[in-house]
Amino acid sequence: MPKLSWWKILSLVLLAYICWQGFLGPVPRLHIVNESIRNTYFHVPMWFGMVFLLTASVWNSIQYLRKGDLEYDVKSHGYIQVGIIYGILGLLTGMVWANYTWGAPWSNDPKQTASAIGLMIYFGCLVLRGSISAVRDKARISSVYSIFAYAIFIPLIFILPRFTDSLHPGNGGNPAFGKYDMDNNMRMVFYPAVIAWILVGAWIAELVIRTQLLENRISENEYNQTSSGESNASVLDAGNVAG
Amino acid sequence: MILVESSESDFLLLVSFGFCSEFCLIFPNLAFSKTNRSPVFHQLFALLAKDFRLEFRQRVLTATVLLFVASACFTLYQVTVAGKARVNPLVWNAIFWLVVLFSSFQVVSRGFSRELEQQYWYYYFRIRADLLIFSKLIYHILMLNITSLMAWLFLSVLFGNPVQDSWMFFVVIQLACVGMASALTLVSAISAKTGKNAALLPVLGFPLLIPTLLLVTRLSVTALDDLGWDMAWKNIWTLCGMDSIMIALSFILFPYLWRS
Repeated sequence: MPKLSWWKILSLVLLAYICWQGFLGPVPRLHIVNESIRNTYFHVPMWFGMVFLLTASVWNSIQYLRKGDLEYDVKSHGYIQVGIIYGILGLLTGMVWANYTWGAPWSNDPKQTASAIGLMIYFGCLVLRGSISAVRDKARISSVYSIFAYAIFIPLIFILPRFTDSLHPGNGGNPAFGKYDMDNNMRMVFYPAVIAWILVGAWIAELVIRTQLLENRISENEYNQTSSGESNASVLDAGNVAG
Repeated sequence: MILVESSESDFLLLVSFGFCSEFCLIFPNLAFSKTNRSPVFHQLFALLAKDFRLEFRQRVLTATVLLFVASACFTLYQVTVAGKARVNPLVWNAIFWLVVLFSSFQVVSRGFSRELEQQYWYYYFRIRADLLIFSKLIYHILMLNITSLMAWLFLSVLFGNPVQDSWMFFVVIQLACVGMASALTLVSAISAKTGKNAALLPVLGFPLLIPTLLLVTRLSVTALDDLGWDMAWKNIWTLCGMDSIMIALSFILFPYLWRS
């Protein structure tokens, strides 16, 4: 029986709750939006999760530059990978939803644009990592790039809505469903959903990071064995990494 | 009519002023000859003088950028109106910033990679990292200035000049050059470090230029339509804020990049 931390159990309980409430619970009947309002529990938290994961990644990049420990770089890379998955999922769920409520999958909404630019920036980061072979160089250069990119990306989120009216509720005065159309029942599902998806993202990222750290350990050991000829016992306690 | 004439004279004045001031700075060894002020300024001017002296010796590289601007303008002219119609100011604006965007990559792509690795070893022991990035930043700003003023000149010759408020357009070009140079200087250092400069620079640079370009295109529409400074201040301050964030981060992050 694997031992789970309290926050993993919490995320499982919350996910079960939002699946039950999200598909079966009562929602307000609104013009145009209708039942698709249930997507709020699944689409909107993807954005929160993405920003959370990218922030975690930048924090680890800064720590890498300060301390020079490669573990921080592995963490930063893992958070970026999961953040990109969240970004793609948020974009896809949003495009399906927009197709039925706004009439087209892409309507140059500032939030769509911001997430597309964010994905472009972080795909660039992955390309950058892929094109450098030396481990230390890779870690240092990609940390520098991701800090710089994050510091441009975050102001962009605040600049963009100034130029185009948003179709999203809350800015641009879209009547389809404003922030205040979400009734108390929905709010009781929405806030737990945000927490749950952030926790799930952190969980996936943790698994990615642990796998990567183990792979690093194994390749390090192989290198040691081939170079010095003596066996290294630390393969056996590789299971303790970040456990 | 009077308004049009004054704006045309302003345009010529500004373009020639820009070229004169930049060609003065291209030869800083003339402008600051034998200046031995504080060591920081001395190093900075020495670096800049080195950059522009290199530029002067390898004139073919400057000529490449200018030829790029000219041929881009001419190609865009041929594929759009080709003398049959006058172009809408909004389209002119888009064409202008496209030319500036693509030529900025031409300028920046050789900022760091034209010196040898051994030269950087030498700099590493002699010069502070922030001075090196600052000199590259100034160099990129000036070179971008030249290319964007050239683009303005070429486009005015081919498409006509729809800019009504030339002074504001000039200020917008200055701000855009600072913004694009500050975003691209660090990125060009990064891509020079990887050794795959030509392929990586646009991939890394394009998304980071979007905020600056969005602000700048809106601002230059204000200048094209002569909507007045009141409309522009908010965007100008936002652009200055973005620029200062990018410059500050370049200063903070470049020393980490350099250390290898």
